[in-house]
Amino acid sequence: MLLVDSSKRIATQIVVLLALSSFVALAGIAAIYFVMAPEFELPPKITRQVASIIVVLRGLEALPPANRAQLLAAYKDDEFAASMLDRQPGTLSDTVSVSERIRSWFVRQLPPGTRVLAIQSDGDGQFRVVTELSDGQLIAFHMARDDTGHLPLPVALMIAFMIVSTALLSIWAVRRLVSPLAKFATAVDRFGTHDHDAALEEEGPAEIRQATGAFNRMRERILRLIEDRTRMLMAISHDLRTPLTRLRLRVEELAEEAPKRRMLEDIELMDASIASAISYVREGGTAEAVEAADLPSLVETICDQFEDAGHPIVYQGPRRLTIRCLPLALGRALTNLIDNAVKFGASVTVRLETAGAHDVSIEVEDDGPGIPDAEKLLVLEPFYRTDAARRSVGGFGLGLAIALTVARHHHGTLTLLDRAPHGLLARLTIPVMAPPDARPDR
Amino acid sequence: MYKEAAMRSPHILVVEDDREIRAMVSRFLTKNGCRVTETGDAASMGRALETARIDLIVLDIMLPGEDGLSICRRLRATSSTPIIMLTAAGDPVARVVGLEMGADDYVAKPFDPHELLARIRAVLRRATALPDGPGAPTQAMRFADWRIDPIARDLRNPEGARVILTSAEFDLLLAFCRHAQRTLTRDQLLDLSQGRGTETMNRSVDILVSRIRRKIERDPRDPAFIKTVRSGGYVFTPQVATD
Repeated sequence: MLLVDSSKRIATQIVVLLALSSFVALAGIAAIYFVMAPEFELPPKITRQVASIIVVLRGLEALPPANRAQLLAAYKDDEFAASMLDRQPGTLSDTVSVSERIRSWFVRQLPPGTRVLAIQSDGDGQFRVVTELSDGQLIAFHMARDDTGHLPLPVALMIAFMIVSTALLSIWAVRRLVSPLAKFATAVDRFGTHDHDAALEEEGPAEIRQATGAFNRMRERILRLIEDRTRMLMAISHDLRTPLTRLRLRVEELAEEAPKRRMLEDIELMDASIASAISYVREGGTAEAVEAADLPSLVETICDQFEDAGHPIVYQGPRRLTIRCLPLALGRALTNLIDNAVKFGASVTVRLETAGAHDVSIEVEDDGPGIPDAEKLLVLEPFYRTDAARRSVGGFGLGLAIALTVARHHHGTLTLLDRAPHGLLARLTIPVMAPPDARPDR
Repeated sequence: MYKEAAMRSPHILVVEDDREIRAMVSRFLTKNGCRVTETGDAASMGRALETARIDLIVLDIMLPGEDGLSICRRLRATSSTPIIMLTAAGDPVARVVGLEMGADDYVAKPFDPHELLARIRAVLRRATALPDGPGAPTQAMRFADWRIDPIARDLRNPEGARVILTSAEFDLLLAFCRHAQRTLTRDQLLDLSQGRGTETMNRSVDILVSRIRRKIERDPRDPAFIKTVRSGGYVFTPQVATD
């Protein structure tokens, strides 16, 4: 989620969509507005000036030519002035780029019969409208044009409203649409690594709700499958262990030592296989809670147990290191790794160290034959068998698969590496879930 | 002394629904000096308990009718007869539940009958060994900011992190906590702690003590908690308080 190109995010796309659509809508409305009702384009000032022109023209028509100058002087103010004009060539051409629409509107506003000869601009924000009186006298009206540099207030408000509403809608969209979707994606991602999470709450728009519902139902089905599998295996193991117990006790009553020992070995092997299958199934839906644990004590305990069973193991690592983990599961994983190592190697070293600031690694190293590169990934698969030489060791081939599952539960990794000159190095790396607590003692 | 008689020839009640297992366990225990009564379910177990003085019950978890865990809890309410649970699950959760229900020990099927016998003897020895220190045997205890919980079998260091011990180490540390500030001989410690695993029998108390020291002492070469007593034994020095 975090690594997605920001232009591909729904949030970004919604914001862009909202901004574009409101811009298009506004442009469309503006276009319709100006085509259908051009008068609205004209600010009140011009309307006032048109009214003045009408009054002045009527007055001038009514007065004798001698008194006309007096009237014109009386109407003169900052934004409006009228003057009599001599008829000269060149004075009558339109110089201002006034659209035909505005020109005709302007003409329509004046009393019928008024002859507008030209609308001129001196290029300095001033208009000049030249009209002709009935006796042929030319009158020029000078008017200040509206300051076109400023957006008229309504337009400015509209744009501001558009920006604010786009922003608010974006916030709403992100919260309402995107966050349920993001939560959904996170939950789907997490499912299987920590399946004890509760079902997702169905929220957001219908489609997301639908997807969430579908996910929850799938989650139910998968959990039921896992549970069925676990229950089945528990039942099988119970039903196998009862006859195995009888067999174990019967062997005890045998007199001959040699076959007895071999039979006991086989019984132990069978029991270990059942135990590993149970353990593998249980890692799928581990019920253990994450807790702070002292890792060296866990590693040393397991090393000691192998030592007691006659496999000396060298432990290297800090004396104290607290990490948040699933101690029982981690113990099983480590037991399997060491078990594998002591089967094939004569000397085994277990190393615990902090790797970088965020990881802890546990390495189990043996001096056995190692595993060829081609098989390194395969041996991590459940039920995989290596060549005949290794097969004699027995079990379902689940040990490393269990260790890998445990590593994944800890959001960590399990890698198998070559050790020089020969042997295998199994490295289990898990992130320290609570970095502030974790510190090697010395 | 009745208890001495129990040690010599303890009367064991085997509650197991599989007739063959029951018969073979009985044969094995009888051969090894126990008196054995066999029953297959809760009802006949009740009758056996009424008619004979039983020293220890070997109780299967999976029984027809009332299961072993429920029987165990019911028995604990009225009697202190030691109980060893048998289970096919081999699962640490079942073990903790069994111990919470008041079982004294736990053996996973398929089991070595010698191991069962060793545990029976160890549990009986514990029942007759030193009386426990103050506080109920199931209560959690604290020493120097450490916390030990006998039911959850959980040891926490002062930072609250779980410190992992083998069951033998845990039992030995528990014995130390229950008898703090008293010099305990190696034999006493063996009696107090032994029984939850065969490992103890092969491990001397000294090795277990050195392993515990490595896990709980600041400096295992200069221990502050478990001190060696020159005349032969150990003393657990911290103040222990029940939780």
